[in-house]
Amino acid sequence: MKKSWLAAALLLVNLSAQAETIEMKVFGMVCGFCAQGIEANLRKIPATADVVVSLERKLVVVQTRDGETIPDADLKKAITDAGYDLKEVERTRRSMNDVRNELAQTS
Amino acid sequence: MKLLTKSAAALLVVALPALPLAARPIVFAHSTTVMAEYTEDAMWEAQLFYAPRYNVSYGLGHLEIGHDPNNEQRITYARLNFLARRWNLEAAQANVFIWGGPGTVHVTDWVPEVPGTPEGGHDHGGGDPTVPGYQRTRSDYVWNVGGQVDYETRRIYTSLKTDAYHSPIFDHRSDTLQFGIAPYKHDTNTLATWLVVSATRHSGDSHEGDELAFLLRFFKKRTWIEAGATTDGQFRARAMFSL
Repeated sequence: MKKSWLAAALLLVNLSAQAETIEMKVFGMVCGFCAQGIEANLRKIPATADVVVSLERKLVVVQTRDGETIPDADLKKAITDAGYDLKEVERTRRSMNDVRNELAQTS
Repeated sequence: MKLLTKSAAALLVVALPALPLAARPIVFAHSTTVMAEYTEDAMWEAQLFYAPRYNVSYGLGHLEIGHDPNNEQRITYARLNFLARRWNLEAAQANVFIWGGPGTVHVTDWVPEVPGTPEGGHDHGGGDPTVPGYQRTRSDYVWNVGGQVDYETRRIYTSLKTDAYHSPIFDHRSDTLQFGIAPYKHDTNTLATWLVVSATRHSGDSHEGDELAFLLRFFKKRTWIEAGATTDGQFRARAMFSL
């Protein structure tokens, strides 16, 4: 019984230590030259590990550092301050490699 | 002042139908943008702007307009650019920019002597050095005011821009309509290619007339380059870098 609790606790610790992938639907992204502001703003957030922007999918994807998260309000501020409109936020455990592969297939 | 009023009215008219933009005076927040533009035998301009926010930038510019050494204008200005309105649509974006600021202008022209006038008087005769006279250079303050409206998708682009300079010794205004088509959709890490038609109407003291140019535009990441020619065969180019 003790072992089960320990395993569950370790699993929880492990899950909470994982990076989070945040996928955002953003409107107005039609120009790669201007959309650089989105990536620049998101990379200024200390919890950000990686950012991918896709004009084709109207998608901005942020991966957090292990065990960290970024509140919706900070995400919205980063996108709005870059001059764009945030429409949806979805949090997943997908790896950035999976995201990049999927985007490469759809572009 | 009349020109300023006319420019403001034109800007208002331009803003109503919501068309899109050429090189934007504000790229993104906390960016520094360097821009240079050149049209053979007609003008060159350089600008340096810093954007503290996505909707504001400020900086300095220098513009030289002139078709010959006896008809030249050199303008150095400070400018505040403001994104007055932006529409972020699912697959398009539209913007209204306005700008303005003070500066100095140096005007060089040819002053023909008018024989028989009292005290050897002369008349301001423009830039015709075949008439006896002398070259004159004057300086004064100048006000710049302008605006741009643009609409853009990943395949089409259109912009309408008006830019005016008013001073006691010099007035100049140019209105530019651009239309662009992208042969393919670019993304953030691929090269963007645009075919652009640009029509400009010049009015004021420098020169009057219409100009049509065909341009090829490329940009990727933080570098933007376009080049082409006017229908009169003048080479035209523009480069922009954001830091």
